[in-house]
Amino acid sequence: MALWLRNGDVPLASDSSTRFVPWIIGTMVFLSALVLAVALVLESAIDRWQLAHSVQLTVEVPPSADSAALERVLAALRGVPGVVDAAPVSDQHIAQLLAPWIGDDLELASLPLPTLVDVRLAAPGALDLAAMESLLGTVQPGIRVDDGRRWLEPVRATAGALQVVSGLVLLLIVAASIVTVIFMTRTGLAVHRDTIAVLHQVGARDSFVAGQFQRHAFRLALWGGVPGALLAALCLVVIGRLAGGLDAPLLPELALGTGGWIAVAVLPLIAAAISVATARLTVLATLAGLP
Amino acid sequence: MGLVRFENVGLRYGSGPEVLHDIDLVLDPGSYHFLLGPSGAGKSSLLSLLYLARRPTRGMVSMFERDVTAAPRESLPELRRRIGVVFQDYHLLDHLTAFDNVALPLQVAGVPAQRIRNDVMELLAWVGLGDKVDVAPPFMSGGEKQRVAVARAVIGQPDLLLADEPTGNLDEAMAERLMRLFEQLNRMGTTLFIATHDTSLPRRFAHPVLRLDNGHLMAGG
Ligand SMILES: Nc1ncnc2c1ncn2[C@@H]1O[C@H](COP(=O)(O)OP(=O)(O)OP(=O)(O)O)[C@@H](O)[C@H]1O
Ligand SMILES: [Mg+2]
Repeated sequence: MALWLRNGDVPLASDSSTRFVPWIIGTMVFLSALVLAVALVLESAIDRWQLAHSVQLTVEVPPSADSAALERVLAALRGVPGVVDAAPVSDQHIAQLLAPWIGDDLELASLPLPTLVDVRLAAPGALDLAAMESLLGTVQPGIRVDDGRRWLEPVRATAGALQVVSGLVLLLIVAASIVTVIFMTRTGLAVHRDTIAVLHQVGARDSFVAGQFQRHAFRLALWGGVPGALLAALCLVVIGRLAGGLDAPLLPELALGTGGWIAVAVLPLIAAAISVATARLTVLATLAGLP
Repeated sequence: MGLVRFENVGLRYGSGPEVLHDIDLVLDPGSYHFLLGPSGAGKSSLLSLLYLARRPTRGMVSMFERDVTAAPRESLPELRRRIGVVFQDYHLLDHLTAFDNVALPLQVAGVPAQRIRNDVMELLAWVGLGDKVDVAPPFMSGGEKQRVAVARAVIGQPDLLLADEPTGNLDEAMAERLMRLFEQLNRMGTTLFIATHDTSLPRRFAHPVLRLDNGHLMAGG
């Protein structure tokens, strides 16, 4: 601690007015880690949703259609250019899907359920959906084509909006940190005006004086940023564990990838870099006004 | 040519009254002058122009053959390193030891640590502070602080040495020793300019005297 906060030629380390700065930077790093995690989890979820649904769609054949009608629909589907395969979803699988809601002692045949047909496409967007829907309509009225967009688009729009908000929050956090460092540096320049005058008198350049403030800002940023990032990592681990126990297939996987963990680990360094650059520019801009 | 040249220089603080008027001054390399004048005459103000802490509000100042009146700020540190100053109130850094205070001019100039160590230890021993190397100014007597200030002013072997009331806090013997140091530096080529209101100094050390009265500079014996 004594070495860590050793005074330089400008005794900044003994300024009690800057004791609050590690707390602020630490809080900022903690918040940015959480916000960043949210943005990254959303990002990977959006990716997965896109992949899962772009080469796959579901056709609902109304319950009124008999098995001959179903065969005609399947034949028509397999004839559509871009379609690789079309197969009805088995009653067994549907029962599995519905079990959590309805229970498993279920007599499927007694329910007026549409028959679901899984269609796999050669490539994302290999198909003119509107054309296919009207073609199928002539084979069997009442058919619905569900390419996932119906529910995916609003979910993706929401996730995208959340990402934009996350970005804005991050920007605000960076701006608030910069303002904090500017304020701290200006205060230091005012408090140590006489010391700085002596340094100038013996021939110090402005960059030498700035170096003193940069070292101080670097230490304070790490002093707050490292604990902030550690605390955030702890929170993310706990949330990840809790989410792992959830049985909610539609929720994005709430785990951070390797890249995400690296980003969280690098945050204190980014905070330090921003603090150092801000301190330097503030000192140089302020000293430029001297004779 | 003149190591220092003032032409028609005036200085005012902010929007206050002018405290220096129409100063014309030439200091030749290797010269030694005393600046005499009553309290408030403007001695410290004139020195602050000489050590480049201020710029004149009118007129022209040139130092080391460079017009510094409007020189860019980045060019001043190089010039300041050629000027040693002993301030009236020392201007030592209280959080640093005597050693670090004296080392400061070498440190900001990027001199290697080993050379700093040798030069500073030697000089501190020479001014009789060999046993106070690790003591900070708040724990020193007035005379000791003044000697640290002198050591810091001469450590960089300046071309121009300015002193503001350098003997003010020294006893007879120490003052005598300091003035002899100044004589010696002057003989080695350093230009000296010493502000004082001790009129006995020019009598004991025969160097030209300049008088400052109410902001007006005149030659005078
Ligand atoms: N920083 C300042 N701001 C405003 N006025 C100042 C400042 N420094 C000095 N003055 C004014 O300038 C005039 C000259 O002051 P200066 O300190 O140069 O006198 P001096 O000859 O050094 O006096 P002393 O022998 O007491 O040290 C005085 O009227 C003083 O009030
Ligand atoms: Mg004075």
